[in-house]
Amino acid sequence: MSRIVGPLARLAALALLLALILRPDWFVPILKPFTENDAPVIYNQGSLLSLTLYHLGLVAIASLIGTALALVMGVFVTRKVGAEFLPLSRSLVNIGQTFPPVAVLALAVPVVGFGLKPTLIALVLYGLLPIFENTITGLKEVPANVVEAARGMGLNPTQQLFRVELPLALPVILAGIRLSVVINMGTATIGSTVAAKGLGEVIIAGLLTSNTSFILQGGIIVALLAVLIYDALSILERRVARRTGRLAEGTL
Amino acid sequence: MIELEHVSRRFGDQLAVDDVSFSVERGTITVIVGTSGSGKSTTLRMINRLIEPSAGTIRIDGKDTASVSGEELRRGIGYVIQGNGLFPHWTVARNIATVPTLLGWDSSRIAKRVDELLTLFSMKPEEFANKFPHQLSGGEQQRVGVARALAAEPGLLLMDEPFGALDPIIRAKAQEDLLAVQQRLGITVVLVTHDMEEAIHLGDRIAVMDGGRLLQYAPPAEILARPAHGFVEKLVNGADRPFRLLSLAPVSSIVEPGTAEGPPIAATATLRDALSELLWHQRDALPVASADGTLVGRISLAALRAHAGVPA
Repeated sequence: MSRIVGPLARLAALALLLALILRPDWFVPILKPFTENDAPVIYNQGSLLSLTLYHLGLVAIASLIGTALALVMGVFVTRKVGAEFLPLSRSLVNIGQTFPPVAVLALAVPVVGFGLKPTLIALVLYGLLPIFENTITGLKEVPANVVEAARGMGLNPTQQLFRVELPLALPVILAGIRLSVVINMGTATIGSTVAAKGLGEVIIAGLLTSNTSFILQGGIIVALLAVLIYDALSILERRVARRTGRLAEGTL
Repeated sequence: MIELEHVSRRFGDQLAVDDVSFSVERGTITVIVGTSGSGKSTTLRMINRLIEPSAGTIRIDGKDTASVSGEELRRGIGYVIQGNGLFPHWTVARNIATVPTLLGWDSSRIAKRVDELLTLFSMKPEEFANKFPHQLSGGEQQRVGVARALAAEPGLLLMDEPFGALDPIIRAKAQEDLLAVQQRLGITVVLVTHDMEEAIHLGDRIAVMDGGRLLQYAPPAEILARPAHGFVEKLVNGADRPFRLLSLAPVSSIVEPGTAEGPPIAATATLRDALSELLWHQRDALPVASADGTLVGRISLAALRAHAGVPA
């Protein structure tokens, strides 16, 4: 059953997403009731396609930077030299997650100005936690006798990390990246409050003009993107996990 | 040849290995036996410097192991651990190729060596080379683990409870495989176990350890016949003692001239097997046959009895 339903639902979501972005006019009859006083039904202040691409680009850059940072930190604190930095790093990453992104924007704008930069800072900080924690968990879950065998065969510490530990931890790390990307997909909409291009513009335009139709369009596109990306990364994760002979167990 | 000289290892204020000295002849199997916490694994892991000795020297073929880097040393020594430690994300072929790859062998030489080793362990290369470890049975995984350790043709193989996770039947098979491969390649093996039976079966010499100290180092027959006072005595003085002693020698060692009635026993069988046959068929003697089936003499209960113990 689920073997057919899964791909079908996925396909339907993708079709709906493409229609919303490329042929928004099709939805006029549905969205019309959400507007008042003959306000425009379909967002008309820019191309939805280019806003979507900006949005995706923003999340991609933030996730890349966040992944790189969290991976390096996670690997460092699981090495012997870095072990004592684990509590400190963990607190920092937790602050990143608990400090509201809006507040980060408010603090960052005076320092780095409006636009992309403050938004990237907020997103990177907000997305660190799941990748960091999953990197640590993934590395700690690598069976001790496999690491012992790697050492016993004469792999040096770098070879152990890149040939054995990271590949085996990859499914768990990927689960962390997936969570982080999905969180950032939604959070990125607030970037529009500081003039970063993205789908937040559509939602904010709706809020400013009390146009519920705009809010729905922006919101649904963001939600569909998040669902589809979550799905795609889950499939990738399962592939990788199957290759290593064990299934991933995400921790967050 | 491996020589350990006054080797000790301290963990905090715990003395895990306490002034241990012994030497292992080239081409023999030495078994270190002891309970958990006896220091047997620590001793083994100091030979390839997975653990650095706190004091003492270890020499392999006269060369101090501390004179090369740990990684370089380990690439030249085969290492097998309990539960095999195969890399689950690599195929069988890639697992076996681990050390040759580290040593920079060219790919055709590696492929040839992988085929050779799989064949040696009676696993068809075309069937097994591209499987992943989780697709193998426990016995197959264990064989791949040993094949991987032997890949770069080391003269020395270290094994840390290699058969501990196997069920009794596969375990017996794995032990026979090890004996056959060791004889064929003429390698030196140092093996750690907590199982005295296994030690007696496999070892040319047995090192008994307890509380970090080496209590006795001798061939199995001597350990059985003249165990050191205390721990070693307790370890070997079970009801099985005469049978263990009999299991060490082949029928050919006490065959006497003459004939006897009954089904013949192979000259290569152990004395323990012979005793079992004599008791089963209710006879005082049975004929002995060589490998080609010709009768070479007889074996008697009296001769077995003389061999199965020491006078009180």
